[in-house]
Amino acid sequence: MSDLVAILLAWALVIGGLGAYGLWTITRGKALAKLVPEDRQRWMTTETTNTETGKGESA
Amino acid sequence: MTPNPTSSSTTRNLGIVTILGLGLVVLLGGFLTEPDDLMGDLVRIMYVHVPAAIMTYTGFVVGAIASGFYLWKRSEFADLVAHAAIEIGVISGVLLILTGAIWGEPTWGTYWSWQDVRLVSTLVLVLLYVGYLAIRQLPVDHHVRARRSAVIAIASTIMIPIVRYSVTWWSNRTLHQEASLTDGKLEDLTLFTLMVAIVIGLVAFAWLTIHRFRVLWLEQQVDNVGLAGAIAERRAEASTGVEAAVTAPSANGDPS
Amino acid sequence: MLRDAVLIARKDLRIERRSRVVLSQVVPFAILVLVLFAFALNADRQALADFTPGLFWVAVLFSALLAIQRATAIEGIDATSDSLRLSGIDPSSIFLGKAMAVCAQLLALEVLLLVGVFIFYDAEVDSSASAFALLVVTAIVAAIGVSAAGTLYGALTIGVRGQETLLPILLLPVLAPVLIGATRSFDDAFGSAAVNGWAWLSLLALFAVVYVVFGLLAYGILMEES
Repeated sequence: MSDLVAILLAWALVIGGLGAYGLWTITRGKALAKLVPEDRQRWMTTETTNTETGKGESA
Repeated sequence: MTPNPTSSSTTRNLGIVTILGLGLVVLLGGFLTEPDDLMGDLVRIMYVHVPAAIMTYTGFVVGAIASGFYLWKRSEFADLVAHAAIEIGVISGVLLILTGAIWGEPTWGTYWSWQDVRLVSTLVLVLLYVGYLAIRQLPVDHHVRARRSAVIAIASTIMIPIVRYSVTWWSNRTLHQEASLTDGKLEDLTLFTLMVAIVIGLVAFAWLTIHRFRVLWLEQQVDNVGLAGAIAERRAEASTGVEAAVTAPSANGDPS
Repeated sequence: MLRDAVLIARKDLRIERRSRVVLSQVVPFAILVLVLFAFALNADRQALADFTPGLFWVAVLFSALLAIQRATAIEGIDATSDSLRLSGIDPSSIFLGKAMAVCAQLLALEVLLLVGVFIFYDAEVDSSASAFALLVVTAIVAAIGVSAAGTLYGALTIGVRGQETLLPILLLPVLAPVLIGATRSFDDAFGSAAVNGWAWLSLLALFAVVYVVFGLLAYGILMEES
């Protein structure tokens, strides 16, 4: 294994691995959100203290 | 653009910082820093390896603190935070071991060394926390599972020093670099890059933990809604037609 | 507290005396493991003698897993743990009692396995009083640590399907330091490596203290009603 391959592999693993995991949380969140009533989705609403702006841009 | 149910302004900012920071780390660590005197360009693996290590142990420690908080206040949120943090800790731990092996082969001539304290102890600890994730899958009542998980998370954290010491004594010599931050051998830019990489790693950790926590929270809501729905149906059959707003106290037999 | 613990321990040991599960299943299993190691190492007498401490402790840990599983299973039968909880006995006492029962069984298993390695592997203890003392104290301290950790982790798997596969993956990483420490300590006692066994014993003692204390504190949380 050349040095370059080793370096690229290590970087790709960490960035790719964690990135894929992050994307998975997003898609899984979207899928689950469809099953949960609006009023129970804390991060979608503006009233909750948890988030400042919430998100008005609901589709 | 469809709204993302697990993001908020906080996480969006964290995400932006992560992505910009990552670009900076790639630029600095990949191109601008000098190769190491001894291992040449391979030193660049450090800029992902060390942040992975920090994320791993941060995950374990955050998990233990959240678990302790759960046992104290019985806060469902703390339980889910613990789950999220430890899951990310385990994933980072696996990446840590893999990048360590990739780094070890060209520099030490071997992927794995039983003589190395950090390698062996990290492996044992990651396996320990895999057990924690197995407990999280238990098909039992939420509260029972949360309690059992919290106890394991705390026990596992107690194990960190024990495992570390036992492995240190066991293998009297080590191939691994001594902590390289303090010995002043690193060049200024290298040190700076490493610091940036660690900070970005921690920001990414926060982003991932918050997102994972929200997904877990949604999962629990789905469980509850499923149950509440079933109860509501039953009541509707019983003629009154109660709204499905019943918030039943958790408990779902399914592991997923 | 201690009196209640002894009561619980005697209850568990009485169940064992009647059912003989440990005697009829765990003991043969332990001996079987010793035989398998001999096959695995191609009956190389030198290798077997050199690695006796490690092989001994792996055999102990595997057998301990079975014994702990058994101790956990009897709690699941007829919801014994529920009636124990309702009996008003302090959870700490229950933990201590169950750990004591497991510890007694482990000590018996260790004696048996020691006889086994002396016969099968030609193991020899250094003929000094200190080596012999090290052997005995290590066996006892390790048994305390393993039974305390085992009882605690066993309680995590009560009432769960797939308990048999869950316990090993939870417990074996926890016991890794015990395996390391006890093996090195025995290395000293058997003279198979120049190490300071007494220093390793201190690690085992630390482990035992940590898990006894943690178990006393945490067992109540695990026993709580959902």
